[in-house]
Formats: sequence, structure tokens, C-alpha cells
Amino acid sequence: MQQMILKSPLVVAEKKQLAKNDIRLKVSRKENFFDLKFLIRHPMETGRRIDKINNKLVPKDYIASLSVSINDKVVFDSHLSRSVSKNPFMHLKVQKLFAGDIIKVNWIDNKNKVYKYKKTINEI
Amino acid sequence: MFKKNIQKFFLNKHSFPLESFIHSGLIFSNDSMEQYNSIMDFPPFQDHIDRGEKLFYKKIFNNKSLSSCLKIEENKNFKYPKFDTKKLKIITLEHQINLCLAELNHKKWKHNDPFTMGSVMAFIKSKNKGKTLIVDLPHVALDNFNNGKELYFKRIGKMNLACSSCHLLNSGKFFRDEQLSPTIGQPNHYPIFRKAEQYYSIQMRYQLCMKSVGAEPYELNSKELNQLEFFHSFISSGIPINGGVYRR
Amino acid sequence: MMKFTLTRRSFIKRLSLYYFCLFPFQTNFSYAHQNIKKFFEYTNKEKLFDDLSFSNLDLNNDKNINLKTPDIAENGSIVPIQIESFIDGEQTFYLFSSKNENPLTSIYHFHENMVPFVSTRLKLQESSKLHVFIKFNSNIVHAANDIEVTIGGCGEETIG
Repeated sequence: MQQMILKSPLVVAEKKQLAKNDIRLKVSRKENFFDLKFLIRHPMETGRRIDKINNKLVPKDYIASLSVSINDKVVFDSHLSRSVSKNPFMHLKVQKLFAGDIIKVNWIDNKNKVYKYKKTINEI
Repeated sequence: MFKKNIQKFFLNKHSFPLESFIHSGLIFSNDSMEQYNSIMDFPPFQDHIDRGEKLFYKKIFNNKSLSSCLKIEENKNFKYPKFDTKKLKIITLEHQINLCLAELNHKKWKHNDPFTMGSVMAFIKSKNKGKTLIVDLPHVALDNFNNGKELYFKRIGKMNLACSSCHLLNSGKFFRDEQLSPTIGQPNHYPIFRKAEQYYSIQMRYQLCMKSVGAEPYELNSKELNQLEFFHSFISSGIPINGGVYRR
Repeated sequence: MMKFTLTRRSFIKRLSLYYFCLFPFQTNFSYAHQNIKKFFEYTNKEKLFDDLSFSNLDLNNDKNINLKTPDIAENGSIVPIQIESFIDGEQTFYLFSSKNENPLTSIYHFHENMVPFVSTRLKLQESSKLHVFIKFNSNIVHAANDIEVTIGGCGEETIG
């Protein structure tokens, strides 16, 4: 069998740029409630940071509001600001959750752009 | 004997069990430990570890992957860095990964690239969390070991400090706002993500330390840093490992 | 010619459909606080408390609030905060960091089916007090903790 000498990398790291507005969400059953934890990849720029490459102030860029709905009923909503850490993380607790429930997380940034995420709970 | 003595020194100085030295400087403060646990519950750098997992198991050549080449999961202990008695050279985990990539006819990875080497390093260490670090010291490795020991005790840079100045003699004391971590257990928990995002391997951290005392740092994978890592890891044998963890 | 009848009922239904398409985030909370965004621009903590009707309140720590914060923040840009209230029913948490440029950091509103609990990570500029006010029905309770910060979290980051 011919041996291949690979000159260029076959194993290229997927997504070298960590994608903005990606969300990672986990639900787990606890004794009397359900843990809902999620993290959204977002720079949450305060507008005070200086970009070292071109020596300019990086403009404000942050998530301004976020809501969680279960089966299209809003159960939680929030207003955030640039005082929230980069890659905002939230741990919430839901009282009742059933298999088949649809969790939606929607968020809006300071430029009024809307982002949506939906997850159907399979087994819980 | 040297390892036993140095571990005894720290166990007497700081009354914590040997296993807890995996947490390095965090053992001195419950407050710090709690913040660490909170962030590790859902780390912002999880993406790197997940990417590392994909790269580790991906079949690259001849139906083989890094996993099949490294065979780390089969060992009940964690045995890197190690001394290759045939080639008479220190093999760090990064170096072994590149040797495996060469075997798989693949281009080498840079030791400090968080998207390739860094991701796989963080994944491997976190997957093998809890395993005991065991570094063997064969007779032929003694020269390298002793060189590493010398480097550890050598004063360098404008500030004229050695690793031992801070981490042996003054562990537990405060230097500015940092509580100095004890030497044993430090390599066990690398690589780290500083500020929850910046990747550092143990050798990259050595370089940072050297720069902060005003010295010119050695190159990554240089003879010197490999010897230092080998010595450092040997005296930390017996302490469990972790990796891909948060640091301030 | 096709007859097209539009009853009053179907007209209102259609109008409300358009309304909800245009404003998908209208909830009781955001609708009642149309001007909430302006409070995030305030730089004066006293005026902020005044205008939100939080002044003249007992600033002791209410026993119905469990506010968990570190004593010394390892890193001011990622400070884990946890708030749990033992109050039943719909309620809103208002979180302030007294020395941030804009002290109001975030507001969390819990409807039914949510345990009034949130754990998140905030940026703190310097050693300061972290205040939480909880509004429920027409009551307001308060708790605050001191947090020491050595590396400020709001300014230039040194990440390369």
C-alpha cells in the first residue's frame, strides 16, 4: 500500500475562531428542582479596552438582555450590562420540567440584534 | 531519597495531605478554592477541551489516531514526562504527541498553540484526572535530572531569584498579592487557562516566571526547560494529576 | 367578485399577531420597565438608588436573602456571585457594584416555575460593596457583601 506523506495538516483544528454567540446549555435533575446552566460565548466588551494591535479602543459590545422561556412561556428575563463577565454564565433553577418541554433562550445585544436558541428536553 | 526529603519538607511546612498539593496555591485559601470550584463547574474554556477530545480520537492515517498511538488510557498511572532510555532523552507529553503525529504522517504542532497542542494537552490531562503522576528515574537519566535540579536552584535575572527562592523557601508567603505556591504538585495540574482563557503549559509558565524576574527565557522544548520539567515532575511524583484548569 | 369579510374578532386577532411578531420580548417585566435601560447609564450610586426608590431603606442584610460572594476576588473580571432568596412568588433582583463606573450591573426577574436563584459572574472594578435589592409585590429587601478586588476587571485586559 502506498504511504502518503501529508504536507499539509489533515487534522486542522475545527473552528480556530471561537464563535461568538455560541451557547452551551445543560439541564440536570436535582432533588427538588432542575439545574439550568448555560454559557454564551461573547466578548462583553466594556468599551474601555485598547486593542494592542491597532492601539484603538474596542467599542462596546455586550449582551443587553436575555430571557428564558419554557414551552413559549417566559419564566425568566434579565437585563445585563458590560459589568457582566466575558462569556456570560448563568445558573438558574427551574421548579418543574418534563420530557418534551422546549426551553428557549433568547438574547439581544447592545446593537439590538436578536439571537435565539432552542432545546427540547428529552429524558429528565 | 531527594524526592522523599523535599516532599517531607513541604508536608511539615504546610500541614496538608500529599494529594491536596495538586491544587497548588489554592490550598491556602478556602475562598480561592471556592472561586476555582465555581468556575470549574462550567468553565469558559470548555471549548478547548472538547476540541482536544475530537483531535485526540480522530483517525488520521491508516485508521490510527493519537489515542491509539499514545495509549495513555491503558496506564493506571500518568507517566509523563519520561526518560527514553534508548534515545537517551527526556520525552514530555507535547514531544510525544509530535512523535505520534510524525508516525501518522502528519505535520508537527507548535507547543504553544492553544487550538491544536493546547487543546489535546488540556483534554488528556482532564480525562486522566485523578491518576497518580509517576516519573521514573533510571540511572542513565541522572545527568539530566541533576541539570534540572541545578536549574531549579539557580538564581537568574535582574531580580536574582531562583525557583527555590519563592516556591521552596517562601511558599505560603505573599509576594505582592499572590500567595506563593509550593513546588511539589505544580506540574501536576498543568496546562492551565489563566483568567479562564489564556492557555499556558508548564514550560510556557516557566518562561513567564523567567521574564518576570528579568531573565531571558529558554525556548520551549529546549534541553533546559525539558530538564527542569523532568526534575520538577519527578519530585512531584505520587501526587495526582488534573489539567485544563482555571487559574487567576 | 370575492367576498372578504373581516369580523371584529378576527381583526383584533390579526392585530395582536402582528404586535407579537414585532415585539417578541414584551413580557410583564420589560413592558412595565420601558425605561429600565437608562438606569444602566447612571454613574452616581446615590442618585441611582433614589430614582429606583431604593433610598431610605434598611440597608442591613435581610434574612430572606442568601448572598454568596468571595471575600477576595481572585480576578476582578470574573467574580462568581450567587443570590438565593427565600421569598415566594414573582420577584426581581437588582444587583449593584458600588464602585463600577455604572453601578447597576444587572436585573433578574423570576416568574412562576423558577426558583428565585441565580449564580453568575460579574466584573468588579475595585474593592467595593455588592448590593442586591429584591422587589416583590410592593416590598423591597436588601443584602450586601464587601468584596476585595486586587486586579480590577473593567479596564484594559492583558490577554494577548
